[in-house]
Amino acid sequence: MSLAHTQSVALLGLDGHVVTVEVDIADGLPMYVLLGLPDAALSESRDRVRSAIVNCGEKWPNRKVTVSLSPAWLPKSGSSFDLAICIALLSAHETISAEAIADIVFLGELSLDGRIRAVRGVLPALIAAQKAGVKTAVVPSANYQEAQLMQGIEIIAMEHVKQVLRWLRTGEREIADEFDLQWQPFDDTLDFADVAGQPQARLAAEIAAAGGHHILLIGPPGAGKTMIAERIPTILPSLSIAQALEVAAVHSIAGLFTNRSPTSLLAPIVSPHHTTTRVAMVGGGAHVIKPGACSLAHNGVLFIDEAPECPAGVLDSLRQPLEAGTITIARSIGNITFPAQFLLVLAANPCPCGKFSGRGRNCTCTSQQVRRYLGRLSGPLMDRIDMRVQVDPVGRVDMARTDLGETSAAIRLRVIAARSVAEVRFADYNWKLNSQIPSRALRTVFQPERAGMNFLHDELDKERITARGLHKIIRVAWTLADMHGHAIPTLNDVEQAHILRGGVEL
Amino acid sequence: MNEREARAILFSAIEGGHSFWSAEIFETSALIVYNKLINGGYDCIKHGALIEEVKSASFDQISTSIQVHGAHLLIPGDSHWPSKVDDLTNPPIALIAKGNCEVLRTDSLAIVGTRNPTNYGARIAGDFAAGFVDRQWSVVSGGAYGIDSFAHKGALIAEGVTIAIIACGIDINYPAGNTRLFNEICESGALLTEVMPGCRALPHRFLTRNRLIAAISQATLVVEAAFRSGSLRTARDAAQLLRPVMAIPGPINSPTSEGCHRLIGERAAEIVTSVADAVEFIGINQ
Repeated sequence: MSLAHTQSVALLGLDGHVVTVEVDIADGLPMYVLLGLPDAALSESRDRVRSAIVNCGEKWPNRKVTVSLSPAWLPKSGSSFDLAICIALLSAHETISAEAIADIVFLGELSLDGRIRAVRGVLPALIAAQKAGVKTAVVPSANYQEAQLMQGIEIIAMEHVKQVLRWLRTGEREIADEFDLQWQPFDDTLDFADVAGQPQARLAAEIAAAGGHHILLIGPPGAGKTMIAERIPTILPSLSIAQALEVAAVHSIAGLFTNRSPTSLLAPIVSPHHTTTRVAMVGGGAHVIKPGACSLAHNGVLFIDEAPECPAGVLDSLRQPLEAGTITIARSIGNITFPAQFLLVLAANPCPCGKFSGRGRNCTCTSQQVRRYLGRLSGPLMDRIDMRVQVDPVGRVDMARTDLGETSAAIRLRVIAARSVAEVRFADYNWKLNSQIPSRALRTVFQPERAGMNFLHDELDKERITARGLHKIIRVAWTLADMHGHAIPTLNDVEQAHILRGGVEL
Repeated sequence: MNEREARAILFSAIEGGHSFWSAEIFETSALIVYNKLINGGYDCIKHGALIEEVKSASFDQISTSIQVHGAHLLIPGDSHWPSKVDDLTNPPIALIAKGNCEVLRTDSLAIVGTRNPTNYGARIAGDFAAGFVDRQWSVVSGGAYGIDSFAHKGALIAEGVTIAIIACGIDINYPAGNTRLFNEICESGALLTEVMPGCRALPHRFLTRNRLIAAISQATLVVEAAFRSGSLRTARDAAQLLRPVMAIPGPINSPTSEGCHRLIGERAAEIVTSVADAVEFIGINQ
């Protein structure tokens, strides 16, 4: 028989589609046709597959070879179809049984000597395969750790085409060592104990973690803004397995397991540089649409240092994900949605030269430069920031202290306790965190105690806060109430939230 | 040609705060200076440009250019002329006012400070403005961003009278972001300027404007100011006129309180920590 087919997976963003790879070998002049909207990397698969087959000691059919990837309308890209094409071709050439390969998904790029190389997006591809009812998948050994996260599908890791052929012909294969599937909940290289002093910023970080509130840290260089932001993941509760899978899937698409282990349960932190582009921030690309920083920070922290230095529009592109928890990228090949539920932490210097703090005598900025600097953060974005915290330089006493500050583990316990109180309260609603309470619910059900409300109305009357600011303050007050064990926010909680909000709105 | 017309013409031709011409007009009268200028009583070469300008100016034109913006020209002797400005060594030749001119002679407190206040300063400026408005004082400031804006707003929220002395022509809203604030100020209080309509807000005009803020008010309060700041100029102008000067202290590590601490340290300003304090201090000094 000169016709065979097997399966692989094409990815559009995080959505995988199982693709049937058919190969037909017909009489005619030797040639090779690849159908099914391949991109450049995929078109080049011909030469990789040919060399791999020949170098494995197999015969290349010197006839007319037609390879079809269906559904044909779906644009396909990348090198992960190499292995599937190679196997289907050999089967069509009648060296492997066609039944053996029909229901298996093959993923992997071939090197010219027949070794199977790692590819991006193995995890989301396997998720799609499992949904489509596939029972067995062959993946590159290098992707085995990530692939093992998938339960309910037999994963076979292979290093070389020869191994695959031996397995398909004789059923013999070496069982690859099972990777240690210990989830690694915590990474102890970073700890809040390292941060000297900074009681207010520590408190703000704890509140942010407990209630999911976005924060802005303002302070001179060297005050510890970055240090604090980098440690926020260590006080977040560990990810659930489902959340970890989502995070791993996004990282898999981006091919970023070098900086993050796929089995980590630690909330991710992504800190794009301030020169980053809009596409790098929210995701995009022409052929292969990759997730941006905000999706890589899904279920974790997106930290943007020197936020006012970001080009106009980059930070504002975060407005949709901040609102919706997802980011949709529209391209000619379709709309692709990535998850993007993150805690936004912005850090900024007080002025362009960074010295407008303390006595401020070394600051070389004009009054207008100082005023405009933080003004670069647009109003709508600032509206979504619940807390603006001043981070002062570490004082003499805090530097001299030899005892360490409170550890992340201790703070995390309080964060988890506060979150569980909120979860019980919101059991009947479709949100989990205080920062997600809709404003309608704030007005009707979730009001703070009378005195607190009176205080806020008084502030509103004096035009010191806006109606939106009032809602933000109440949300933070709820988190404070959860942390202090109050059933509803007291006047004290409301006042503290008001101070953290930054008091007067400019 | 009467005194009013002569004043208007000289006002339009001479930049505010000119010490020689101010003194000359103040000691004699605008009419005398005008005639002397036209008839070659001053150095024709040194003052050539000015003489040309004065000769070609027409009162009607000046008057319409002011009225077209709904403003009024005030000269000394007018019932609404804020006579306290005559204490200056270089008093204004005339003033242009828009809004409610009656408020210009009321008791007033000048509240000045940085354009980049902290929340603390913004709050204090508003509270003091409201506190003085409650005691039937009006609040004078410069209409700039920051402390100035918060002082004006504080007075307006307390339903009081506030006066903004601006550094540009009455038709130019500088800074543009405060256009709405200026309109609100005009409803009950007034906008005041020492330059003709159409004049831009140039740096030197802020300094000459500052002396008016100091002179028109009974007392001056500096809320937050950096180590180098125009607000300190206003405070020193007020001190020269022997008007009470007060400053609000702040944290010693706050750059926007450095100027206040400097004034307090140099004994140029009295430290005040409440509205009652300030009222008492002004009372003693009157």
